[in-house]
Parts: sequence; C-alpha cells; structure tokens
Amino acid sequence: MSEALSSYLLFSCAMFAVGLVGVLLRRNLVAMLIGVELMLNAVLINLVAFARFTDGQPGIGQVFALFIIGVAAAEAAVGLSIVLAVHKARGAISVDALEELKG
Amino acid sequence: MVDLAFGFLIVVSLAGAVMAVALKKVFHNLIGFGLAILGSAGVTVILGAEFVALMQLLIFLGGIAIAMVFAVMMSTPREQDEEDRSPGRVLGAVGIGSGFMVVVGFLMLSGVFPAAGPQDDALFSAQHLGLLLLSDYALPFEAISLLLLAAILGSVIVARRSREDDDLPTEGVEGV
Repeated sequence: MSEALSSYLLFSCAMFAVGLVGVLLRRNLVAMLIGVELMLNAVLINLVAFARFTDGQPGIGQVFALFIIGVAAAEAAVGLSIVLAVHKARGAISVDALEELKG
Repeated sequence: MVDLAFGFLIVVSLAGAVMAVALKKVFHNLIGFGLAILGSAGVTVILGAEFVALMQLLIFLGGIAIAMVFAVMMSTPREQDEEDRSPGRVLGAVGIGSGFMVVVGFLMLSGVFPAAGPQDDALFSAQHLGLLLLSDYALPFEAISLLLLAAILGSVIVARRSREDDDLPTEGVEGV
C-alpha cells in the first residue's frame, strides 16, 4: 500500500477535496484560509509522491514542494493581515460583510 | 509495518482535515488543521522526503497555524455571527467536493504514469536537494525569497494602514 503511487494520489485527492469543501462552505475568512492551506498541502504531497514514483530527476519534485511551502507562507501572511484589516474596518471577519462589489 | 503506519497517518490527517472544515469554532478548526499537517508530514516522511516533511512542520504548523491563532485572538467578532449552515449550502459544497474527488480520482487511477518504482534514496536526500537549490534552481530560489519579502512587507503595510484610520491618539505611541 505504501509502495504504490495510487494510494498517495487518492490520499492527496481526498485532502484537496476536503479543503475545497472548506473554501466553499465556510463564511469565516480564517476558516476559508485553512481550507486553502489544506489544498496546498495536498498538492505538496502529490508532488513528492510523483517525484518518488515516476521517472525523471527525483529532486525536482521536492524543490517544487519547497516552493509551494514558500508560497503558502506568503499567502498566509497576506491573507491574515487582510483578515485583521477587515476586522478593524467592519468588526466581523465573515465574507458576508464584504459585498460592495456584489453586482 | 510501514503500511500500518501509512494507514494510521492517512486516517489521522483526513480526520484532522474534516475537523478543520466541519467544526464551527475557528479554534477547533485550527486544531484539526494541525492534526492534518502532522499526518501529512508523516506521509511525506514515508515517501522519503524528510527535509520537506520538516519544512512542512516548521512552516505550516510553526508559522501559519500560529499566525492564524494570533489572527483569531485579535479578531474576535463583536457579535457572534452564525454561519449559514442551511442544508442546501452544505449539500452544494459537499457535492462539489465529492464530485471533484470522484472525477479527479478516476482520472488519476486510469492515467498511465511512467512508473519507475521507488527512486534511489541518494537522489532523494537533503544533500542532493541542497545542491539542486544552489545550482539549477538558484534563480527560482532567489525569486521565492523576493516573493516572501514582498508579501511580508505588504502584509505589514495592509495591517498598519487600517490602524491609522482609528480615532485613537497615535502621538506618543509612535515614538516607541
């Protein structure tokens, strides 16, 4: 089981789907960010699994995984500061409070 | 033995992920997120990428989760607004998620990947990774450093600007 590519792929697919549900379902900004982080984490596992089990230079998958971690950190920093700014301006961190651009 | 550990880690991290999405309190979500990250770092160790697993723990748990705890602490809603958990919304979200999983899972299982079996451990080591980052991937490495610097400066500016709009006296506090 741990020697087959497909089990890792299914695992990361399930985790990505859970993160997707989180982004779609939640209205709290921090909870939505958690969903996005889960999705990034799933992609990271996927890349490392492909690097392990397919042809090609195996280090590249890990390099991309490290870049994903960097992008996740940047995204979390910007997202959380936006959360703080929204909270200061509105007193709530629900996306329902942000509807100026609603058509 | 490895299979047993793999199954356990998968169960832990998927349960954590479901906790991170389904529970109503954001703090409980964060605990579930931590579980999910711990489990998937274990999976990364089983895959043989110890360095990536350590980075995952350090940055997702030590950085992002802690920053989210601070954000939750500093942004308590003034009135507790209930989330809309009507059956339609829940069904829609879960339906899209499971539809995604079925379609992508089917494509992944039916796809033909140039399988090579588990790769050589020496090519998977942190030493090899470090050499790659300092030779072939030096430019992307610098680019991601620049991206991080810009993101962190930007987030400081975004978080500061909203503070200046407050009516609180800022003189005297600034000079610290």
